[in-house]
Amino acid sequence: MIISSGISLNTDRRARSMLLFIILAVLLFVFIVLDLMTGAVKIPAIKVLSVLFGTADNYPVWNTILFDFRVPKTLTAILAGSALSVSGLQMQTIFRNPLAGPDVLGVSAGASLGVALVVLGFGDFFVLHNLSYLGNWTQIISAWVGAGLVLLLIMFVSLRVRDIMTILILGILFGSAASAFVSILQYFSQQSVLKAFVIWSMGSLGNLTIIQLRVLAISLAAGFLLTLMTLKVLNALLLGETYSRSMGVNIKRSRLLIFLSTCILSGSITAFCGPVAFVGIAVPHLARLIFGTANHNVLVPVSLMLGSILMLLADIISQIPGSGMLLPVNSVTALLGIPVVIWVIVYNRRLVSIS
Amino acid sequence: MYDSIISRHSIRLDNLQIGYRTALNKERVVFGPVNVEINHAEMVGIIGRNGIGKSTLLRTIAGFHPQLKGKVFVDGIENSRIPAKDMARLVSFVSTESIGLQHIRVNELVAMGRFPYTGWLGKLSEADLRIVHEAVELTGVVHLMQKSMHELSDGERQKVMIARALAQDTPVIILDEPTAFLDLPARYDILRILNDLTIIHNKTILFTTHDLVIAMDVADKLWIMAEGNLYEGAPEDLLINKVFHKLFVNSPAEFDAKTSSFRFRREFKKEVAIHGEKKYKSLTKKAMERIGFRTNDDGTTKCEITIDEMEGSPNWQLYYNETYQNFDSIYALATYLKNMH
Repeated sequence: MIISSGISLNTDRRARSMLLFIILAVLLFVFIVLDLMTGAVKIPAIKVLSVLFGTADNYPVWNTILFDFRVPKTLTAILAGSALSVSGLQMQTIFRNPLAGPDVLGVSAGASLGVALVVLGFGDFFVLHNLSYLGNWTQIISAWVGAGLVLLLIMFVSLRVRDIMTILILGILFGSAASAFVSILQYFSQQSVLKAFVIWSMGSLGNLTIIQLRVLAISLAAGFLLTLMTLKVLNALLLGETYSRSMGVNIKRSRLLIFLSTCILSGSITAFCGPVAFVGIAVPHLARLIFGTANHNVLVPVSLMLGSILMLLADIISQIPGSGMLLPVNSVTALLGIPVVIWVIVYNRRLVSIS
Repeated sequence: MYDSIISRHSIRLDNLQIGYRTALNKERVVFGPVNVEINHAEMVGIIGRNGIGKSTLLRTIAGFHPQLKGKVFVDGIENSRIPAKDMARLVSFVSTESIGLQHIRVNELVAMGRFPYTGWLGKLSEADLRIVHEAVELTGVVHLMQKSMHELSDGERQKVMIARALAQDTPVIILDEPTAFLDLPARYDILRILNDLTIIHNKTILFTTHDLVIAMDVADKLWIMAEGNLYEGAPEDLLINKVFHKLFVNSPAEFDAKTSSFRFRREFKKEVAIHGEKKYKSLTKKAMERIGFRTNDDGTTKCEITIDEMEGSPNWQLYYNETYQNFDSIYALATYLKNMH
């Protein structure tokens, strides 16, 4: 298991990490079951388990509800939570900025612009290919490109400006500019696609088709593979560029790989689930807080699990169990994530300088 | 064969010119050309005023920054021909950047020095752990192993960064102002550690500093960067050749070769003669210079101080305007003289 971290030299801490890791795994399982239970039709935990493990063939309705609706949604929540969290972790490390994250730096907004260009700008194409691989790959790739463009801008700026706050403000400005373009596109678009776009922009985990889920899974697999390839480099980058170079890190190549990985991870989720806010920035901090380490060999798997748990929690809350109403998942994640971000701002002593 | 015995150089700069290339491909020369070399297991300190290019020189030698002209040889190989991965096993670097990360512990940070030797997950072998432990012991930070980096004092943090460089196990260690921001005992501490590394562990050490006096005590050789030239030599050679004065052009201070220390340049308007107990004489002289008196012992001055010792405590007797006055401290004497005019 990856938890036997490369640079942990203390057996006590390793044992503690192991225990925490097991607790997280159990929690994740509990939340998966809870998420599968909630919805318009409440399914008891026992039944969920028996259907899941294929021992209950005599409940065809629950079978249909679970496998056609809830399992894809739960799967999407897990994918979204883990991808956004790992993407946020990567951004915080390469920018050496505790407040970096896909939404804060405007990367999600960039991805939204990419999606808006396809959905609104080429409405006819979108309606025609909405359900095909062609349409969905176009949508996800345009999200990557949009995310990549904003990230490229921020990277360029951060070469010149070293002040964290300035970079964040610029990120917000880039994001606003992207949103402004989106608004213009909305203004000139047809009513039918407009509604689809507005619903998309509120964030949703439940509307993915099987094709979209496949496209998403393939994309995220590529993103996570790149993350695995750059784990060691991410640790070196904690010490900044000079130290990384002195240890033989190829800065340009590493930056490019991490950059690609983070664009794919955050862009893909934005493409199909809408701009889900504050998960990417909050989860890495929770991971560091709970495990007391900055080692990415630990933080990446922990962010995967914590991100999934947080996203499942958001999904459960968004359905207001028992009410039959549905909240936009975007708002729920914001309300869950913002307290963490406030805590980071209030308690981080070295926020202003990059170190 | 002959060459390898006579010049066991670790670093050689051959007509090296450092600087920057601007966007329009124009060259902005910072310093050079220089031709110098460092032997194995030598400790070399670079001294020069801010902005003269000390850091750029270090970064150029370490291979982080391209030179404008000339060549840098590390272990006899031109540095542009050394792949980054091999360079990381030849030269380690300690920058001025302070690493105060909250969630990194000292042992983890030192272990990062093993980066060039570990596999893709950075897992440490038994041998790696042993080297990390050695590095921590050599720099005297064993007791800090479990502390997080942001809990450390500046001096402790600097030692940890040096331990990290040691763990990288390179024959050459380059340090950019390792004593900056430290209090005086910590400065001596750091330079003693570096000195031990050259003497006991045969490391070649190149560092920049503003602590000329401490550097003169430990460095085998100093490179003085001043007035567009690089003067090299043992600190004592540089004293003989009066090189240090070049550092203090347009400065209110000057270097006193006799005491190897600095003092303010002063204009003296008054003179005083000092006689008596030797052990108090130079101290009294210093205090007199501070308040504007030049010492003149040839008997032509109107103002005379005689120091004698009574029952183990000194006494200063001032003769001025045909009157005698006694003082029990230099402070009392100096205050009196200051207010006299």
